[in-house]
Amino acid sequence: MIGMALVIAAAAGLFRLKHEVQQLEAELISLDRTLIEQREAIRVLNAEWSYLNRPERLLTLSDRYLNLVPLVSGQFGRIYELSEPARESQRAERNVGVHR
Amino acid sequence: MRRILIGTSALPDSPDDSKSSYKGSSRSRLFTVLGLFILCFAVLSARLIDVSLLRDGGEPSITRAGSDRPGATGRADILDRNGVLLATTLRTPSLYANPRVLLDPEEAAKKLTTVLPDLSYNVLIQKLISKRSFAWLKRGLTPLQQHQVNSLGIPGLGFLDEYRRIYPQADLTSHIVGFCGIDNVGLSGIESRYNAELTAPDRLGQAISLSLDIRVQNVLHNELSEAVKTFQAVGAAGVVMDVESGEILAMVSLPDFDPNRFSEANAESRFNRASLGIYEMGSTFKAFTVAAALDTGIINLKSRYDATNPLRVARYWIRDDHAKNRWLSVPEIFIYSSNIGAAKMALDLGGDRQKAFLDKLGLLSPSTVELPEVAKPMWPQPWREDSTMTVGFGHGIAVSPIKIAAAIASLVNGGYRIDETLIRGKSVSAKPGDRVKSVSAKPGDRVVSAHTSKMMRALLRLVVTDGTGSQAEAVGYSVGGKTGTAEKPGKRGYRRDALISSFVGVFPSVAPRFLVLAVLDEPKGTKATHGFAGGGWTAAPTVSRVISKIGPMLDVMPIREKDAESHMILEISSEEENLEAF
Repeated sequence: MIGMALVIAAAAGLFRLKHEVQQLEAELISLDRTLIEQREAIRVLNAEWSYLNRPERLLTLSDRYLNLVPLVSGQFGRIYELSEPARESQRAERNVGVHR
Repeated sequence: MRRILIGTSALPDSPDDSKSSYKGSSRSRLFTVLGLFILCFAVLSARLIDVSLLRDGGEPSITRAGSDRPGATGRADILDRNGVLLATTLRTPSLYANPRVLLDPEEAAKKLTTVLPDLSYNVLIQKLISKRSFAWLKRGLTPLQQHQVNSLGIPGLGFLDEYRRIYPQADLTSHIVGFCGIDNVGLSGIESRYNAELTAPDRLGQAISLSLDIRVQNVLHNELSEAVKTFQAVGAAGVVMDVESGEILAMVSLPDFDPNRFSEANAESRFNRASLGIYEMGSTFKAFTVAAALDTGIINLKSRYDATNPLRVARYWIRDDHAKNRWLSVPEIFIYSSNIGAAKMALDLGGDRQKAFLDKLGLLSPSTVELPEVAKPMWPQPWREDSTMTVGFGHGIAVSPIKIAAAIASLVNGGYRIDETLIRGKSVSAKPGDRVKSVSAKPGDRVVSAHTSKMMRALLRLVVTDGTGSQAEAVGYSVGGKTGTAEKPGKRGYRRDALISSFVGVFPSVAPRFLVLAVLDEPKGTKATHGFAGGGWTAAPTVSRVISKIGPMLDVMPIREKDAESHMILEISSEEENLEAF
């Protein structure tokens, strides 16, 4: 009798479990499908991003919409070069002071 | 059992003994069957309990294993050194037909050509009236085309998803990245060289990072295209290289093609001039002659050679293009590009030592760059005395531009042999067990001494400040370099009208970091160049423009002219006096 009860209980348990697993698996499959779709979408977007960022295209866009020119070496300076005009102006002020 | 049962029967000797025994045996059978059933049920319940309660979920989940692996597209991406996408794989629908199901092939073909105009009616009809049950009509449709075909409503057509290689940078990297065939097997470039790695299941999704910098590549591509247009050249090749590691930041070969439509490209544009083309480079080779002679100590910067008269070698005369007709010092031979002087210097050096030196620089073996398209260099066999003289100024020996770049870089980087590479970090990834084998992780073999390397830097700078390469100067970047002009070999001797003009520049010349090489194939002189088409007039200005644009990109701090000159004067003061003495 006890055996019978156990059998029925186990059968019911198994049935429930199987049902749950099936549900979870269906969910997993649909999630996986979404995942693949999203991955594909990311790949497409990456390719498009790279395509839209071609240096050639950026150059034409920058020519059309921005007032920028390429960097030239004269636009670089070192920090100690900054102090020159500052010192000059200091000296100038002092000279002005002496004249007064 | 039977005996016991009989024993328990009430009347052992009764007349219906046979019946009783029959009864006994039927009971025993009943018990046997019952026992069996109980046994079976016990096993079943045990199994049930085991399956439903005791087993944990340790079984592999099949769906998960099937779909979650990375890079399900079957081919990894290719990136530049900053992670910019150069090649990727996208899923695209491909159109097929089942001609057996098709009702009206003529009408179907007619309708299809309206939405897919690049398909020809005749080819389509051939496919559609065949007796087969499957025929590809067009592969790699865009989503819009798929929609249009669907809305035609023709029965017997269908789509299959296929993976297709896409090259977003189009023709910018055509020769380096290469392309894949319709079945996604690499046919050229990195795609072919690394086909196994790109498709290996154990490293799917792991992109390959090239040493290319797409911004530098673009600058080189633009400037070379501009030069080809200006000088009506038939082609051009260019390289930008890190002189310390040998990493190639840019490599261009013109004309080029769009790898997305490789089938439309002709053989001429598929040809990679930078690695597969070999050229007699002319005066650029004088750098190797001078470096070898300086390094072996047979000359010093004060040595002089008589370049008063042309030199006769076998049937030819060796003349100077920028003839001075006097004795020249070594720096003068180099900066005025004297063939006579270089030939005599090569003679002093001797054929064996010259050959050994070029071999040490790697100029006598094919490039080790990671491309299937590499050429074997050609050199005189046997290496006679007249070969020694002509090779001394870069004739009679043909090498690929990429090898020239690596060899010059080895001369100026302190004297270490470096090998050109297209793979990012290949030269520094020296971790044990690393998949990518290190080629030049530590400074390679020494080719010249540090002192010779320093003298070469000074000499290359002199070519730009006082010699044939003056148009290569880029303000702030202290360019050093060497011009090269060579006549192309024709059917009968050399052709005076067809030149290979080149310039190889390094910057900043005090401590070079990058090298820029430009080679123009058959440039024609213009009014602005007074009809000259040599390297100093055509390739040098191109290199100058490339350097002024890529300098800021590559974090090279510009040098104030005063600083640069003072450095240089320190190094060449002895020769300056010498120059003035003439």
